[in-house]
Amino acid sequence: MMKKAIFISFIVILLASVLVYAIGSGEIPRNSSMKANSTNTSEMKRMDCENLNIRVDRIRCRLQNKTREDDVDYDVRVPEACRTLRTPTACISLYKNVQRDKCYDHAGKEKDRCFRRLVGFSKNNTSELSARNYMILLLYGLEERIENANEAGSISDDDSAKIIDLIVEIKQDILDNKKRAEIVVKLNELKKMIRSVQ
Amino acid sequence: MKKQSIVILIIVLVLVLSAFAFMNNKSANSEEKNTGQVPAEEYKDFQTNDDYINAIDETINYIQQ
Repeated sequence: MMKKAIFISFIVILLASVLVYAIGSGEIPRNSSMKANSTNTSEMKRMDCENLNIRVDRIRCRLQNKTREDDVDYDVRVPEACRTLRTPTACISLYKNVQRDKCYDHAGKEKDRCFRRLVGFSKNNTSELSARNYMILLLYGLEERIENANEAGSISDDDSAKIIDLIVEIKQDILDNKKRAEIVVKLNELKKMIRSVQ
Repeated sequence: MKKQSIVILIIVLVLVLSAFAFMNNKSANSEEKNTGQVPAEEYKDFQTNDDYINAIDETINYIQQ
């Protein structure tokens, strides 16, 4: 009887462990080549951009194909800023959550409210992680404005691609936990680039 | 002996249920944190590139030197 009880207990613990593991595990979306086989023409164009090796070329290609960052399916394409990370899951989730909450459909203060709620950045919570994530969203907002200006024809494809490329690089530094001093140097460069095309 | 087995089973079940309760609580707390409201005066009115740049300049102060 005792042996039976121990056996049953063992089975219960085993099942519970499997369940907990299943709940806790997440899956990183990949640049699936299966999905790339879609026959849709715009999809083909988009995938062509993804096959380019140099980041600025991919960005320029997307601008030319009018592929806006906020329209991207992040289950298919890993965001540029998350690509070089060793564990990109949290980064991809951040992008997905912005899309889910439609932060980019808002303007002005509503947009800021959406960003802050998403990353939990407030007067009461100024933790480094929430500040870094908030900066990612602010840079994403800036990127959206460059895309808009490019679509309106006020910034060329080349200039827009260079600016967005630098924005992505800064986002990567922020996500890579680089120190403030390193980020500031690139931010100053970004400011110069943006002001030169305004 | 039978009584002893039942006691062991109950202890195991309580431990498993406690683990689940702890996990659920942890996840609920994290969601609550992410949806917390902040005072209205904190929000930036994003209208220009400079509005974003200024917000970035302010926020970078919360990042390690």
